[in-house]
Amino acid sequence: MLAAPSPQTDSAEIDDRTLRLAVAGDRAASRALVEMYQVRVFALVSRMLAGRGRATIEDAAQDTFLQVFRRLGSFAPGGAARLSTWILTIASRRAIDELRKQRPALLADVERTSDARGDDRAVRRELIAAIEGALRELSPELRAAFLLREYHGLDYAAIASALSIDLGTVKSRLSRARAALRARLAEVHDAG
Amino acid sequence: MQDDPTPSPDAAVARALDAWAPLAPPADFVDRVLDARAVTAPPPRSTRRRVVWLGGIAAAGAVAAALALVVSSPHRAARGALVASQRTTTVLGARGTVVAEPASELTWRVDDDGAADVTQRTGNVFYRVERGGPFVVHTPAGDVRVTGTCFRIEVEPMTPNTKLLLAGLAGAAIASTVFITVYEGHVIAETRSARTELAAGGQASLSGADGTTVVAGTLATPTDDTHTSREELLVRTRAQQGQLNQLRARVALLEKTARSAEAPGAGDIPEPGRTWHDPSPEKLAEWVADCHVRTDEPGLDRFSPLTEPDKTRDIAASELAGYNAAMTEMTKQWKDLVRSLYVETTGDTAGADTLSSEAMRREIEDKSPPGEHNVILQRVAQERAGLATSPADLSKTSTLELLMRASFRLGDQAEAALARRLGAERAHAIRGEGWDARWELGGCPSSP
Repeated sequence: MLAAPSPQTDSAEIDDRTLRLAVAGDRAASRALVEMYQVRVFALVSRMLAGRGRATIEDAAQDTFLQVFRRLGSFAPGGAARLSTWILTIASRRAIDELRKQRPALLADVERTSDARGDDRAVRRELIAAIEGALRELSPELRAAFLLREYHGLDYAAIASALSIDLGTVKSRLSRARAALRARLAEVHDAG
Repeated sequence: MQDDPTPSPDAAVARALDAWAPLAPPADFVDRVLDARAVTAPPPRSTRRRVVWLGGIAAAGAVAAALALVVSSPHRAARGALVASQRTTTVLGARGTVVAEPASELTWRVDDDGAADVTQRTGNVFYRVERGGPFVVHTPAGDVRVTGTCFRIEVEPMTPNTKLLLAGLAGAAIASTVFITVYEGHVIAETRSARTELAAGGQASLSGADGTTVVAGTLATPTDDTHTSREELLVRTRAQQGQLNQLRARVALLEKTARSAEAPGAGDIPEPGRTWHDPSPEKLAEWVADCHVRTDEPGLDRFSPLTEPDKTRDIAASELAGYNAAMTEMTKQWKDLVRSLYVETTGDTAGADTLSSEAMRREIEDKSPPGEHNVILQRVAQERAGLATSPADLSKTSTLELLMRASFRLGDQAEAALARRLGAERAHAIRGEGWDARWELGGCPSSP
């Protein structure tokens, strides 16, 4: 992994008791669950669906949690996957579905979410455009894999398993995506 | 040896990744998820007698956000009361689920035979009703008898804190008003003097003073309720909130007219020496308290080129070409802007190709966080009064704010576009007291 750039790599998990209460439908526990994971889900879904509009992103995030609650009883605490990984997998699949049915992306939303100012903003926009360009080379599944790896800290095996992709493919394609990103960033740097 | 300023490839990648800030969840996201979960889940069936007090479902330590007393029995009987100070979902025995918005007040009773009797004194409540006998909602303006399954009732008391006032049209006095929107099945709405039946997609407003009035026959969204999931209905509910806002605006207009009739000279009378669209600094300062913003525009959504001189605006034959060119330019600019903001908000480019600017504008408003409209009005009212400065960089503002600010400038921009063709003096004269569409918007964030 190249970087741990944002708080979304937070590894906090909900406790078992709250989880059991949420499975049972307890509202306060369900609230705690959404509060615990919503930032991570938004981080993944908004990058997966960059440019698709806030409403689309919010709908995908909401659908993710509705699916989480419907299937929470089947999650095995103490099993191979952490709850955050399990939820991010559901979010990935929801975003992949959205990518398959949606139109080409805009960059407007990405620009809006930036906190940068002045010249900084232009540089940042170019960096983001470079990442988007690299991600466009990837299928929706590998785009999810790239984001899960770089922003959420999942290892290759977990990603391959979660997204039903061959482990070797994950490694080779992510390596290629990084190389493409480096090349694009070099172009940005040279142009500057 | 000089340092190489070129960052290492991995450092550059890390920097790029770091630059890509994600969207944060909206403040009400958790509530939206929980409400959607409650509405999409089947209502629980009671198996034993129980008394449950629900309270304090907001953050720990907060004052109770909603109070509900629910009493149910092994059979179907249940009764309860709800006073919601935040969005609250509760079940009405075995007869259904309600989602009550803040300030909603309900009491209900479900008899052993399943007959349900609900009184909604105020507020905005979404109902999903299960089969099982008569289901009646009593409101201050009349009763709603339910033969279907999904509908919304909003009780709107007459209040001076009107959110949206559209000036210049006639109307009748109104007491309290109830809005009904039906998503599935049928309801019968009745007052002491009138009665109407609404099918899926229907909307009506009830007024205790005036009798039943069908304000709008159908919703824009086609409804095929047979196979509609609860989840889809929830989404539809959000989409149709914009249409309800329109109904509110129409009622507000009637209120406004009624008040104007009672108090001649108030409201729309121009100040001496000033045009309607150019209020005095004193007036702007006065309006800050109500977050009041006045604006006009030439009715661009309905614009069609003039084919003959216009006596109302005193546009001569020789000015037609210039006038039409200016308004065509403005119409295109406005449509392009609304379209781009709509696509940005919804991602729906196909819809943008078919919807009117007005429909897209409504949807942008509907998709925006609750209350944002009033926050923007407050800010703009303060700026106009010189109490705040306009944002230097609009690129960081929300889609709704961009839209509203652009709409507030349409009147001046249209005059400027006309001035480029006919000269400033003629453009000012043609605008006169204001363009055809004149808006008075008001309502502060804390307004009820």
